[in-house]
Amino acid sequence: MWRLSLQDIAVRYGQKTVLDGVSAQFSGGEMAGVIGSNGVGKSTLLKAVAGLLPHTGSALLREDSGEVGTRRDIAYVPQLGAMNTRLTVFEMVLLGLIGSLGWRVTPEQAAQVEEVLEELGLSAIARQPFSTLSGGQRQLVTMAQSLIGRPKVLLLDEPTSALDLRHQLIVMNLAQDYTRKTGAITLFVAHDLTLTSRYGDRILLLQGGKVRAFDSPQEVLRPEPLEEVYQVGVSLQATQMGFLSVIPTKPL
Amino acid sequence: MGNKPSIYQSINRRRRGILLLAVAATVFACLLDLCTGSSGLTFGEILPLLWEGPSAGGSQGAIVWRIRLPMTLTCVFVGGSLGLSGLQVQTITGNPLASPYTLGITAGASFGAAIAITVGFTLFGLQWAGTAALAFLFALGVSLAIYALGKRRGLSTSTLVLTGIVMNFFFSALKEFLQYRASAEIAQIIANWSFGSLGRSTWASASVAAGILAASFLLLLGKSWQLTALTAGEERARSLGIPVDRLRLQVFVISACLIAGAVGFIGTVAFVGLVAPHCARMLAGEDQRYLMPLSTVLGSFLLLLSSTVAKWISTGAMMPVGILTSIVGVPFLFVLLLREEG
Repeated sequence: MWRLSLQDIAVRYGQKTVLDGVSAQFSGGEMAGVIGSNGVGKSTLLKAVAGLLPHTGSALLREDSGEVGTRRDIAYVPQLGAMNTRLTVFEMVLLGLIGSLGWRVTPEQAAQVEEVLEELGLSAIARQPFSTLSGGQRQLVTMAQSLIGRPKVLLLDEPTSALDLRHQLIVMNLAQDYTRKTGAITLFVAHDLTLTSRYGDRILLLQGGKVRAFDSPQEVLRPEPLEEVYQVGVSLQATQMGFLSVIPTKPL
Repeated sequence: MGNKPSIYQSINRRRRGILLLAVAATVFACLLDLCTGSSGLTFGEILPLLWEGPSAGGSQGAIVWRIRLPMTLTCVFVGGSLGLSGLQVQTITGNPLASPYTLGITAGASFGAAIAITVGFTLFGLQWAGTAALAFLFALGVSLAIYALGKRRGLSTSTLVLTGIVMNFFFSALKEFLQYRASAEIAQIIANWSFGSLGRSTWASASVAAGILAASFLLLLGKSWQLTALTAGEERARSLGIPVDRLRLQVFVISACLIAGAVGFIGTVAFVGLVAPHCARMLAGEDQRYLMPLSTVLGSFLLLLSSTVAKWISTGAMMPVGILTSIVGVPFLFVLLLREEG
């Protein structure tokens, strides 16, 4: 089983300390939600783990057998932004194999892309330019781009923001299926606490650049820490599906 | 799976077809340019002279081998350089309005050339080499300044347009100052140089432009996948493991070499570097393995066409090709600007 160990991760932007000694351990097959108010360092944490930001402390990916993971084993999926590229859906997914692409794309690599597109129901739009897709389709394509490399760690930065309800579930189910089937570790940043409760096996709550709580949804999603972190009153209800529904009631 | 991999094969088959067509059109444009001129030589007369080689005798041989062929080949390599550098400047800034001319890199190179002309700067005793060298240094300097600005402020459309306006005004003002202070003869040479005239084409200009284009093309071709990934957005490229900052710097330097190689000899040629990449992208998409050669070939094609039209318009005295590309390019830029704003 793969394990991801974060030890005293700290990130500074100039004089400002964004993350201040974040430590946490994650195990293979686990989905972990990262929550906290705006600017607390959720995306920064994911970027630091992905090796995209200079940081102190360590993020070590290791298998129980002793094998150590590399940066290639970690896939970071950024937030959806405006993109006017004429790259087709096929090419976008193909770029997920960039580390192994030679001048000529081999039939095996092309087949690999086709397989992923088929799995995610994207074959029909393979020739379409990425810029012409809906937000939900774009998110699925970028997920496909990351998943084709079979990463051991999947980092999703607000994967459901700007998506309709149906696509929120499609995207999160996709991440969950991948995590369970492959024994990968998935960290996702979200503002929707109900969604986080539904898909997170554990939740990492950040406050002031530090870990306020890191535990099961039932332990983290309690009125006291949430009201303190988000400065809102919250009402918590257990749903019939077994996860918590978090309803903000009023600003404090 | 069955027929699925053929989707990708069919996309690329179409691209290869377009590239072949573009090459064929450029070869045709070369012949058309060779056959166009005041001496009234026909294709039937030119072909044997070409076959005969540089030793072809008589005034007709001299016209073909000393005037027309260097001019046509300079068109091919300078146009190709502008098409390729325009594409890469657009790729690394992530902005379709970027080009050597709109960013003011060409204006910087022109000022460098104007200094060389004014002070009589030579390299290895050669005036053209000195002019090209200073044009190169200024093109590189402006490119690095834009790169540094982009790192600090991002390269949005408004930043780029403003940068281009500032650079163009600044270097134009400096060049005009040089012209104002220079003798009438030097001022005239600088003014002629600024028009972008193929009349200055020589075997040396064609050879150097060809060398720079070939070396740059090979270097950039090796970065095809990285540059393709960059078109998917900076953050996504970083997440795919692309060293974005290093890539940008390398490509900016290579582009500056291409621009200097292009304008160092024949002067300012506007808009080819803007139009060719756009047409190439519309025809072949973003895969740089196809986009790069197509943009290069279309750059050559556009300049060859401009050269031919310039010769047709002004029989006897060739109209500077830079004037023609500006007349055609300005409306194109205007349409692009409106589309960007929209």
